[in-house]
Amino acid sequence: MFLNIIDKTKKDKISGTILSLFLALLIMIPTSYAYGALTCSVTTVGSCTGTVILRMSGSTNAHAELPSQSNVNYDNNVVCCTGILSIGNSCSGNYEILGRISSATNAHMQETSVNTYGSNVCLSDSVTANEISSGYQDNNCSGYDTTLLSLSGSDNATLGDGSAYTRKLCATIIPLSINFSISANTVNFGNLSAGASRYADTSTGSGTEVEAHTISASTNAPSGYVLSVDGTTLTYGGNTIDAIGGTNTAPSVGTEQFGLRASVTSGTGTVTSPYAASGFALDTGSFPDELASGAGDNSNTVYSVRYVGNIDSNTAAGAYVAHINYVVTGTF
Amino acid sequence: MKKSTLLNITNVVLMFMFVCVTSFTPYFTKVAEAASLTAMSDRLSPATGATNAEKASTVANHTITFTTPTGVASGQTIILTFDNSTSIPAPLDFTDIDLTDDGVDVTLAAAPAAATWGVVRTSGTVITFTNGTTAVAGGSVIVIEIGTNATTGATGDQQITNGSAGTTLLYISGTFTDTGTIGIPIVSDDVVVVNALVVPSISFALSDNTVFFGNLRTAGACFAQGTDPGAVTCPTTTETEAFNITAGTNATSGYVITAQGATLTSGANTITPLAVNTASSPATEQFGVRATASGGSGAVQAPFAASGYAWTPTASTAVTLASVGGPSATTTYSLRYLANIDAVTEAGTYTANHTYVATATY
Repeated sequence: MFLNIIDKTKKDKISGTILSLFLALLIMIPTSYAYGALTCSVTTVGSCTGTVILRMSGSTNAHAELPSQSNVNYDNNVVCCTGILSIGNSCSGNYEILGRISSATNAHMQETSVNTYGSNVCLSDSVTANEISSGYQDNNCSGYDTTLLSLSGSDNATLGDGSAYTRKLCATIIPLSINFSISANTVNFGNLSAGASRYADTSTGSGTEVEAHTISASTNAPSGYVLSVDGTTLTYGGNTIDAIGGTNTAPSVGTEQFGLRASVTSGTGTVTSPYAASGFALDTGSFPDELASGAGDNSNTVYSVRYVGNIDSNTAAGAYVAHINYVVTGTF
Repeated sequence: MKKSTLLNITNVVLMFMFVCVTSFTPYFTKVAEAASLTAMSDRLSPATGATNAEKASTVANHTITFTTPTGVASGQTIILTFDNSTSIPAPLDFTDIDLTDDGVDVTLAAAPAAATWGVVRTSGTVITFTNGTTAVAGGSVIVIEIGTNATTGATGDQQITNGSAGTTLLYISGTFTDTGTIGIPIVSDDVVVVNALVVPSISFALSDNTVFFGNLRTAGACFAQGTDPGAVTCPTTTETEAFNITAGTNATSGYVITAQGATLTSGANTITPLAVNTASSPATEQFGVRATASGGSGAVQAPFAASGYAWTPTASTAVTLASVGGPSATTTYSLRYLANIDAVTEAGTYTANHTYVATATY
């Protein structure tokens, strides 16, 4: 019997330790890189699995208190936001002021633009590239991810859940994004000639300048992105066709040339010299070489990329291949 | 109160304290001191000899750059955590990584000691750096290279494998308290393969197909030329070009020009061909050819290249006259034909039919 008591104690200790470790590990798992759509609702503090943005005294005709307060009569109607686990209610770092309340608790609320109350209600995100936006509009939150609450007016307002009043507080978080795609991964010149310039396309090449493929890039990284080019010139065994180099150069029939240029079809990105002018370049000596760059405005820029090939009469016969590597790097 | 009950209460309190300490301390600390990293980027690049960098499920080198507003105190950690199925190979260790602080290389090892940082592959998605005793000042720029681009001390031989197509997030955290997240675009293929053909070409021409010596003589050397002189004794007594051959190609292994045909022949009589390059010797039966080259890269081959003359081909055997080992612009070969006879050379009309063939090797 004594032995049984000792065993049970040990068992409890082991179970408790395992439980502690499990809870600790569960809470310590990094969460900043889990993404979905921002979703907010009014619920009880005990049911909130996300971040409490604001606490209310009821589901309609309610007063407000900041999430840092803990009055029990505000526990049953908290604005709880989930979906993006890096969010918080901090008013520093990457944050958006959603509105202002008249005091830390038992407060009325005003829209952000009124700006006479001293206690800010904030939605924050520890991922600095996540873009937070909010606004007030009547009837619904069309155009936003979610409705946080509704309020009786734009100033000195009482609050309610999303359906209590016509005026809605809405919010959206656009997660960190960086996008990059290439429209085609194989392009061809066909037969190069010492008598005429050739331009690559996705078929058998062209005798006139033509778009070979496009590259699309965008990001909301605060400092934008750089699109760089790397790789090799056209190569066949030990033979190469001269890369044009770092100076934008017009096609020259009868002279070995391999180069590219790019232009912007749409978007706010810009092509970088020497690839931006009407001639061609391929500065293999500077690889990886910047081809283009764009701001962190999430504008999807489509770059039209063209390749020129020229040979001289002595260019060795063969099937030449160049592997051109494109890399997009965001600066966050 | 029973001893077992006391033990259980103590256990619960300890569990609660443990959970609080292990779970919430980082958040309290973060609220108090955390700052956002700035100027963060992770540039992917191909390994040496490879072509892909941001291709899904492909290995790549990483160059991670960020500015730490707070700095990294002695003993503090920097933790890199990748998502999106990114895979850090188990053998990856400090030898596959370089770290610089404001451009100055930091010594890395498996564990921190004095000024040396410790680097551990914590899991398939996490790498942990632990500072030694030298603090990194706030505002410092940290650059971390991972892969074959890490060349300080030893050159790395392990690389991180990209995850699936989409956005990979690199989360930077640790007890140094600054945090940040970098997005890396991963695509199905980040390389454009550009194909081009250069078709084989070869040019080959003879400037004349009939050349004439006139009447050969014993009194001096006689050289062929392109105009029929009729029954005239050796109208060309000094060496002159009989005709030329032009050849050029873009063949990767160049071309060979061969000569084939018999010596000057009249019925059963022949004028003795020169078996080696030999100077003209009047009053001695001699038939030979020599050639010079100009332009391009082609070269005359022995025994036709020297200042003397030779004719080693036969009616059934071809001999190399000239060649080039690679692509060449047009080379002009100037051929000079010599004939000498002696006093007893049989009278007659002598003729030789010579065939020249150019063959390229691609």
